[in-house]
Amino acid sequence: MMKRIYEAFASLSLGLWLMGGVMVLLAAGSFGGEDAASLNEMPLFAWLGAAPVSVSWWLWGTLVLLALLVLNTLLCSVEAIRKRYGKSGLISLLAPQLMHAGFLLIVLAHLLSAKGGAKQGMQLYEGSDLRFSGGGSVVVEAIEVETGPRGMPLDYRARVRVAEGGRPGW
Amino acid sequence: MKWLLVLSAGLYLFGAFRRPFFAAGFAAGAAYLAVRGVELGRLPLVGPHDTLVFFSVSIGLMALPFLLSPALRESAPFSWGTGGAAALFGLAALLFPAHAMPLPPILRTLWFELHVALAFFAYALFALGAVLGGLFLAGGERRLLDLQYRAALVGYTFFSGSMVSGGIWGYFAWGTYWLWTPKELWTSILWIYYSFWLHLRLRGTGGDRTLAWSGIIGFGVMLFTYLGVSILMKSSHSF
Repeated sequence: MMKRIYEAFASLSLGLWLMGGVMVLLAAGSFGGEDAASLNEMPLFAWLGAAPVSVSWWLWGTLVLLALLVLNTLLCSVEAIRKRYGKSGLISLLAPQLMHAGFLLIVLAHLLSAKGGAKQGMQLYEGSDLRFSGGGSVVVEAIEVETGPRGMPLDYRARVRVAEGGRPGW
Repeated sequence: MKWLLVLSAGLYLFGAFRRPFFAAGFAAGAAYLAVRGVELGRLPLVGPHDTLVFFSVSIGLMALPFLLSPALRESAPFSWGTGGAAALFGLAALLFPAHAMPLPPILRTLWFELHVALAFFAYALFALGAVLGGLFLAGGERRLLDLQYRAALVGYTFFSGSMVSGGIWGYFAWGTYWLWTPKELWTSILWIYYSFWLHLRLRGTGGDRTLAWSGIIGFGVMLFTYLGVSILMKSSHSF
């Protein structure tokens, strides 16, 4: 029984179905219009907690399928390495798993950034300071704008100094 | 200098069955890109006109090595197919104005240029994959499917690089490596589609027609990702 469950989760067919499901759900989400626009203003998990299911259902579904796809990918990699271990060199053993590893790393990165972080739009001017909710602050020392011949801004840069604990640092 | 684009399309449409004419069509398109680049002082990669030209030139560039392969060396349909695709997108570029605006600050980074260039190299290879799939379905040999696989695999690699460089560019431009807009969603769909396609191939022979059709459908997904999203939907990459 456990062996059958393991084989099912490690199967190529399951992977194909999961990939298909993720594609369909992401496509559905892409047509969500302005409803999901606030998704870019806060961490993912915060948005999922706040948005009604009628707006977020596609992302919930995607996360479930992605979680299964992560498991499927891990198990497929284990099985692929097990089958070829001792029969091929190290590079040809591990190279096919490089893309799997990259995919897993990206999913992990998304998971970490989905849990926390803050994003806020604000107006800053020369001399103003920006305080972070977790402590620390920076001071905007200068804002320089590069303009073209007709006065159109071409580029801009801000010089910022880190001030810690209210005292100037570097 | 738009006559170079018209010349390129003409060479593709009327001479693609001969490799020197195909190469000349590519050279004319590349020359137009070079002239635009010199005028602008940068790679012309912004807006529908420049990206359609870049796509057309990319198809020509990516097709050239395939034209040298034994399976395709004498294949007029492949030359016509890819030449026709390159001509179509080159001519489509003429429908849009060629902007001469200076690059906005968020686009003034190598990561942006790398992201766009890699994406179009990938799109071109996906287009070649579709042509090869079509040729197989029309009664071709199995080695056409092997070439389709190579085109898709290299395209997938380029596209993966494009997504990574796009994330880095996004971090510099918007402070985040990811945005939930239709463009990013369809980019993910396209990447997952070709992941799906490559794994479909692992199932072995017996699904050759399915593979061929899947390569053609992938081209459709790519077209919607590139043009459909940019023209029809509001996103970070809208034209």
